[in-house]
Amino acid sequence: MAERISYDVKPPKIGPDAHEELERLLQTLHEHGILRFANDLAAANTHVAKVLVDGLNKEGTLNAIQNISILGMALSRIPPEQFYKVAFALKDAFTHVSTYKLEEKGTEAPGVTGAYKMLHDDALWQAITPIIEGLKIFAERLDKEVDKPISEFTGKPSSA
Amino acid sequence: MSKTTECTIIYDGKALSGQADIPLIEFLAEHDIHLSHVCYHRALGALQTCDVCWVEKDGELVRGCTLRTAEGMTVSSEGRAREAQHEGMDRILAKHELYCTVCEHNTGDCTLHNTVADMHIPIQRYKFQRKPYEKDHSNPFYTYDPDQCILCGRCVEACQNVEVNETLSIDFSMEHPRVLWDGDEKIEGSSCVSCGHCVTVCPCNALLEKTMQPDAGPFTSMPQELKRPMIDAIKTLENTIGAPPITAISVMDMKWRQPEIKRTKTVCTYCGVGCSFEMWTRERHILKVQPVVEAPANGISTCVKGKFAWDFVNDPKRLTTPLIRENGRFREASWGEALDLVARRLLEIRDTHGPDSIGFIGSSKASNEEAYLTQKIARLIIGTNSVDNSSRYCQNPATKGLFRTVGHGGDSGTIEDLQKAELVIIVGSNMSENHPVIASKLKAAQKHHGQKMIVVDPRRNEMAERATLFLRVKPSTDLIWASAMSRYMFDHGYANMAFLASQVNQVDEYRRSLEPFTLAFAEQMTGIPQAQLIEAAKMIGKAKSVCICWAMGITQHSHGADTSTALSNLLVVTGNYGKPGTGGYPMRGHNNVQGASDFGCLKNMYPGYEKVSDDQVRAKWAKAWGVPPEKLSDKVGQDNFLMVQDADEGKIKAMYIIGEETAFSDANSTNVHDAFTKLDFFVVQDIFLSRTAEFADVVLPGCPSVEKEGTFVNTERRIQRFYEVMPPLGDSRPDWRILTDLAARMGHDWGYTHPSQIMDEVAGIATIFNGISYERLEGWKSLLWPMKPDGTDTPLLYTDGFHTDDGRAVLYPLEWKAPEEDTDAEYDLMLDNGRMLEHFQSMNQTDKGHRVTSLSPNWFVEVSPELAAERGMEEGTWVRLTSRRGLVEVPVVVTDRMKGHVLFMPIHQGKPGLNKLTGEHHDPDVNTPAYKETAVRLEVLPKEKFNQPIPHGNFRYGNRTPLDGVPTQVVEVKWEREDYVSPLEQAPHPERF
Repeated sequence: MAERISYDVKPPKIGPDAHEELERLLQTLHEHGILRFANDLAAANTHVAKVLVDGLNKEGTLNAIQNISILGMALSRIPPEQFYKVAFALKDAFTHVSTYKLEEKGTEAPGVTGAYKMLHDDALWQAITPIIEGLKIFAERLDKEVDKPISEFTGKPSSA
Repeated sequence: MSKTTECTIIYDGKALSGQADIPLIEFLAEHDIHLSHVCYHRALGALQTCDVCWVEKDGELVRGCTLRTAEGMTVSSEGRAREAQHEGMDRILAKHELYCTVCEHNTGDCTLHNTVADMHIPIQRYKFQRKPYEKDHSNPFYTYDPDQCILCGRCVEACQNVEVNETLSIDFSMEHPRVLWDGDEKIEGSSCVSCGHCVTVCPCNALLEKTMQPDAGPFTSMPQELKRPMIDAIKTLENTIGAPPITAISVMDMKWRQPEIKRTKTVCTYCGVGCSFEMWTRERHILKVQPVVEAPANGISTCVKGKFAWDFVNDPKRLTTPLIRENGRFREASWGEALDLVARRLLEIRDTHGPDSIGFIGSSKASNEEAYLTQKIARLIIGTNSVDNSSRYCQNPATKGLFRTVGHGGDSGTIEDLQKAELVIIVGSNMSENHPVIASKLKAAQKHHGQKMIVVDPRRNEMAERATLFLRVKPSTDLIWASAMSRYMFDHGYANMAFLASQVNQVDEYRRSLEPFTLAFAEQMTGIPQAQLIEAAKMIGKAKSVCICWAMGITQHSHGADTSTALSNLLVVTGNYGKPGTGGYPMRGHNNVQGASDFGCLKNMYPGYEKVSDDQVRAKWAKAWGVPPEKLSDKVGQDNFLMVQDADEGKIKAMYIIGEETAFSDANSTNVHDAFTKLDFFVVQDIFLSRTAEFADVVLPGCPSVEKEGTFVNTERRIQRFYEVMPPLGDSRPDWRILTDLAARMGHDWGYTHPSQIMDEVAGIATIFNGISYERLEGWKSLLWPMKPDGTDTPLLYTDGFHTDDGRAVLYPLEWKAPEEDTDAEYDLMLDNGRMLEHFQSMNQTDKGHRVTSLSPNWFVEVSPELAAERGMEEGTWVRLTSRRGLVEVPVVVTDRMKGHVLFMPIHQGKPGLNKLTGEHHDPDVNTPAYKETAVRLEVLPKEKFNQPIPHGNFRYGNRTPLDGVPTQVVEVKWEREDYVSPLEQAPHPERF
């Protein structure tokens, strides 16, 4: 009589496993030429990188990258709620300008009386004052020499 | 943790509780707070050079690395401290160019990169400035780039105070300070022994393994003409966008390198110190060996071999397919065919000529589990006790001496005990070359704690130069001075009479045996002046704790067991056993020569030193293995030495040798080769086609330690696990698996699928290994046998008595016997021999890749200046050395390491090798050949002189520059510079300090 022995059943496979998924992915990448491109790129990586670096080292490229960065840096300093207000005010202003119809509002100049009335138009002055203040700050900032944007930005001097 | 060692500190306004009197940095780390630092290292302490860890305490700025925790300590890292930290880092960055994404070192453990990232540096204050020095590539293993060096001094501290090779320094009074080798600018030609300590601790890429260069990262191998403009472009952008976006890229780079880098704990496969470390690999490429503080035997220490000599692993000459001898050639074979052939032939020979017609030599470099399987096949399947290992050639005499006197065949304590000893005596051991990491520990104990050291040796080696007292002894006379010391102890009241009375047998008999060993006799025979003998005796007698280390200079003699016994007797007489900092320490030569014996590759012992001739023991092992006791032989087998002799005489018909180069390392190699050719069947299992394998009928490709799992036992009796770093190369297989498969083909299907199962089996049978398991050896954990079933181990032996029948030590009477071979009128010079630091045994491992070999490629003989003058020899003069067995021709090295008519030759190089000269005379107690007793004749040959037998770039020609250390001698010079200013001010020339 054979002795009683135990046997652990191997669980059946349900659905594709990772290897099968990978095979499918490889086939798709192959059919669409992506693998071929990746191979080409990998084989030529030094040359491609050299082209990139050469392009990167051009004054115009560096300026562009730095300027985009400056925009990013400026944007990073504006609280979103302020930027929202300004951005949407500009958006509304643009909308208004683009839909302005001369025929409806008339085209004649205000004249001296009209200008005098404008000087007493509180609503108009309320609208213009922030723009004038902004222009003053803008002019002040333009007067300030910037040697190194990151030092200006962080306040930390650097001779690096 | 007891309450008295706890404290609460206030850090940045937060109360933190933890251990008192530990470094603040470590304390904070335990609370997941990282106080930025660069030069501080757990193994080196506070060097105070980087100026990055500033904190404010009691209103003053102090370096945080210097603080130790204490109750109530209040520390702030904010405000002024933060400003000072950033200034410190800015000064570092004036000396180090950050190009981390294209730097090989950005693999995750670059302290500098990680600290810069942690500190969120917006932009570096000072421009990086180059130093007027070139990158040094002159060492075969590592480079030094002064432009990247931040002058933190970690390397200097490691070299001066951990390795204590005392090569590196920084002179901050120079206009452009840099790391110096022997005070000079080049590594080659300095005293640098390439131990790698400096590279291990370097916090950046200034000191970097060549194996990391150039492709440790995906972008690091691009050519310099591409790298340089890329770095320049990024630096330009950084002026506008600041450092954080660039640092973010380098952090990403560090992260995406991680999946392809594997870090695996392994244990060194060279000497018996048992260094463990992480091996960093990418696929099969070994990027670097990185020691860690947690490693129990070595900490951050390594030698040149452990750190750098791994080129053999991927060497194209590795055996990857079984080979079968056919028609006078080897042909490749499948594993099935090869193993079937081995199984069939061994069983045939057993059945035809009897079990004792087959001999096995296990490997002192393979694992414990593999040693166990080797003896299990020999004993259980073949039925012979003829199984041995290379300890026969080196360590058995030492073990015999310990068996006779105190009972256990292993070191009495740990490396820590050696460090604690008030006095260490080193006899017949070139420790700094053969066990370099233990030598470093002792050099450090001497340098920092005033440990005294006596060295007894015919050759003035490094330890002799450093010794408190060096006794240049005539070869083969060590038993005399050791016994004379014992007698002196009794005669002058230094013997520990209370200890002797309570714990030692045969005291009177032993004392009587000392009668002939007067100081006058000792002086006459050993050549050591009486005054020196007395000085040594007083040092031993007065010391509170004494350790004796000895090695092949004692054991490889015709009476090495007696001399080992004499040394142990001296320890017993002075009561130097069973206390911290005491005991006998035979220095085991191979990584697992201790384990091969411990796990049963001995002709008379089962694993755990259980005697084959003891019926109860035999019954125990037979029961465990499931056979009746009669199936196991109770007859002591043949050892290596006698197996070869028996093969020569036709008594042994088949041999199975695993990982041993017997054809090169056994004495009188001509006779060994003759014996091998007479075997009916010969199996060799190895990683290379060794000289021994050339005689084989079947060659089985095994694996080095990095391609398998297992355990080793080091010289301390410390059992450590090693893990698979990479899969076996080609069709090679782990040796334990080969042996398991072979046993199955011989009708014994043991079914091991992992070495842990083999260890579990041993732990269930051998008493001293009860309680051992792979779980208890996980990671950096280790155990020192003898074990107890509950898992407790025994770092220090004999604290509860001795391992003898009645628990008492034995003083073993001895008489001096003349060596079997001595000089005479014809063979008038004595030839000493031994290992060189940079090589290992037959060089089967160390000559691969040629980096190690480049340090000392040539064979040579060292002669004393007196002998050179007497025989008209100069450096490079060719000589013929003729012994009573054979002759070799080599160039000479004239050196004051030697004196008089004693020569020295390394054991590694040479096609015929040193054993062309050595003889079969041996210690009759243990059959260890007396390699060190070789008399030779020297003839000067009329040949053109050999240019630089030891290349002049070799470290042996260096001139060390000892320093107390960075905190005391180096950094203070920096602080005294005129341009060194407070960390709250801007420095005028931060690139210079």
